[in-house]
Amino acid sequence: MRPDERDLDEEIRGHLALSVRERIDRGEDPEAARLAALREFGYVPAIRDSMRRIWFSRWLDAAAALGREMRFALRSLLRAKGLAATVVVTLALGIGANAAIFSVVRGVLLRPLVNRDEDRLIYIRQSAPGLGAENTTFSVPEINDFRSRITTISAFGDFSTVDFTMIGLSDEPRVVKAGVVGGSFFEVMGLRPVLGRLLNPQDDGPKAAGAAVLTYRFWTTSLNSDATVIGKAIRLGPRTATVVGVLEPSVPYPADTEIIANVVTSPHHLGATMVTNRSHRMTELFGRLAPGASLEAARAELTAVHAAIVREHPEAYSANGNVQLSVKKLREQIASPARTILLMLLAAAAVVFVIACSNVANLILARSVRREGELAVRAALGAGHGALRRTLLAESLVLCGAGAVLGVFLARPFVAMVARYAARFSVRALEVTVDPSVLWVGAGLAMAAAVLLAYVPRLPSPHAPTGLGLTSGSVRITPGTNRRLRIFATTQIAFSFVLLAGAGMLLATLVALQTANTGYDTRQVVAFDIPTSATGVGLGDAKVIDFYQEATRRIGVLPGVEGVAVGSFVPWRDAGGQGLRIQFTVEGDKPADGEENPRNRYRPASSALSLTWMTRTSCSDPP
Amino acid sequence: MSKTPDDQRLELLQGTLDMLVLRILQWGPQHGHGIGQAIRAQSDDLLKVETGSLYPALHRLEKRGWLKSEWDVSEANQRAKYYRLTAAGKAQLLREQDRWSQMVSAIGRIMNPAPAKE
Repeated sequence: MRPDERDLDEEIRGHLALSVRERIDRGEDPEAARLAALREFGYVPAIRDSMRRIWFSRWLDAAAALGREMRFALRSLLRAKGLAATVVVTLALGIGANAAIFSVVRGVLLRPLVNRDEDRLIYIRQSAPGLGAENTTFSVPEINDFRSRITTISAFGDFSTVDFTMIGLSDEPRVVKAGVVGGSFFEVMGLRPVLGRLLNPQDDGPKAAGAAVLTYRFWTTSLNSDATVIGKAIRLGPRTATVVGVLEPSVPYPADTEIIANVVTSPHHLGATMVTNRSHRMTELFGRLAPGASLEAARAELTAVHAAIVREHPEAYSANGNVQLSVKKLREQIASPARTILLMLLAAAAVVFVIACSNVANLILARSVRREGELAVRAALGAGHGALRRTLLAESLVLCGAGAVLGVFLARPFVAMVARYAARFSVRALEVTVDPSVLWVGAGLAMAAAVLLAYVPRLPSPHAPTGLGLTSGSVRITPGTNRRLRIFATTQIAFSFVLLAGAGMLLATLVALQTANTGYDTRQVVAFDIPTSATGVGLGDAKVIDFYQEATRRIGVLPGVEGVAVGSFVPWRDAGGQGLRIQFTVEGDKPADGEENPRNRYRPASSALSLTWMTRTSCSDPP
Repeated sequence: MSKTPDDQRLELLQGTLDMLVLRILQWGPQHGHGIGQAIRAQSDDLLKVETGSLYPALHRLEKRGWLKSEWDVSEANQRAKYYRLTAAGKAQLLREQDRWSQMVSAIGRIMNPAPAKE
């Protein structure tokens, strides 16, 4: 059983008493016996300490002492509320910002995807830098060639996006963004359903029944996680499909869609153009590495096979396009656009933390100048350097601990903010939430700050005369303290300038963007997304044109409406999105040898669109 | 009682104190002072244990579970902490005794080699 402090004392006392009694019994004088017994025993405090050490380690003692010091520090800080509050809030901001950005960095760049064996999941992209096309996607014949020739990839999954007008699941027809996938897609992606089943090879091909899987976000936000949705029939444009399952939460890549349906739901996917035209590219391609195959091997084989395909079908590949293939792990593909921006944010947060720390260090230093007298008295009374540092450490631990707690609370809204911002660069940021790593970062930063702050003030030196500090008993600034104050002030000002300059430039850019004259006046414009009538009409059908003309006419006569226009995209809102790329010829312009007709995005628009939007550009051809 | 002058006493051999304490306690529970006296008496005053070594050793042995301690009143009507050998302590004593006799015979063979046989 572990003895307590009283036990130790009593054991020693007992020993001495027995020893004295023995001597007296032998006939010694009581006083002499007492001295002899003490002499024989040795230095009591040292022996007592060596007994204690068996049971209580040095660290435990130090921790207990620190605990006492922290209670003391808490009391003394409560007497300096203004200073304590400033320090805590400053640290909380620094720690909160760092913890939040770190958890976004972790969520986007470091955490593995939910997909099974995500390490073996790769994303393949075809690009034509010569034509300025970063992602040309693939055509069905190309994918079939890969499927028949590649051995390092066990299975390919294909995904293309289509807009459907959906009826069912909501009261009105609605345009939904949908993915159309082959039967192997979910198996390759390694995803599981949370409800029902996913699409499998039986759902592939033109003869299968229409089937659709809902994405988790759509199911939870638009359908309130309604479990009865499974088995419901929905109309997708001209076709019907049955809802067969709900996909688990996962990174929506390459596109954030609401439903994912099989090929049979999209007439376009079954058409001859899609199936046989090698240049009709609209499919994204994923692969799962075959057992034993490395990413490098797959990359080498894919590149070689791709080069062979390009040689075999020169008509399908632009000579100037410089068509290339990139093969990456899906996780890298998803995270890479956000890497630079996130690392920059992390650096900025680190600068904020340094500023917060030097600010706090200044305050602490100013306080310690005032307590130099106190420290000098304690040093004179025999307190060692360790004990004095421990007092300072206890105080800064209390401050930094409070700062960290507050900072972690602040981190929650920060994380949401940073994640929303980072979502522009990587869809993974959408799934970032506050996780326990925030706590660790917060605690780590607080510890670092506490140790730093504890070593800021100078201790009264045992060699230099402490008389000065003692006699005055009040404020006295030593040259050393002065220098340190200057160092921290300089650091703080320098780093603040770095941040200010960065923030100023950002602000200037924002203001410039806001006031830039784009030629569009969006203030008076209202945009609608109108689903096409769902009954079996295809693009270019006369009925579609009738529908839009009628809609335009009816809206145009509404009071307060100045003009109406129809278009396949909304300027500024949909800029940069995916669109059909169409080759066109300029009349009277003959392409030179080896050159091709230019290619561009195609966006049908009624002629009134320009009038409705543009205020300054002259319009030469009014309707 | 202390007839041997200090300079004739033997330094306790490193690592033997634990064994001696365990051996003394084989006779029954004893307090620290009594253990020290017993070692001195049984070695004919040749061995003297410093309290600075004895007490940490007692606490160390107790922490290992080889001794158990309880408060009691001594024959001189003085409250003292008595140490008692546990079962584990007895087993440890046997082990240490074994090792000790091996050590003695090994050192003896080196210091007094038997004459080589022809």
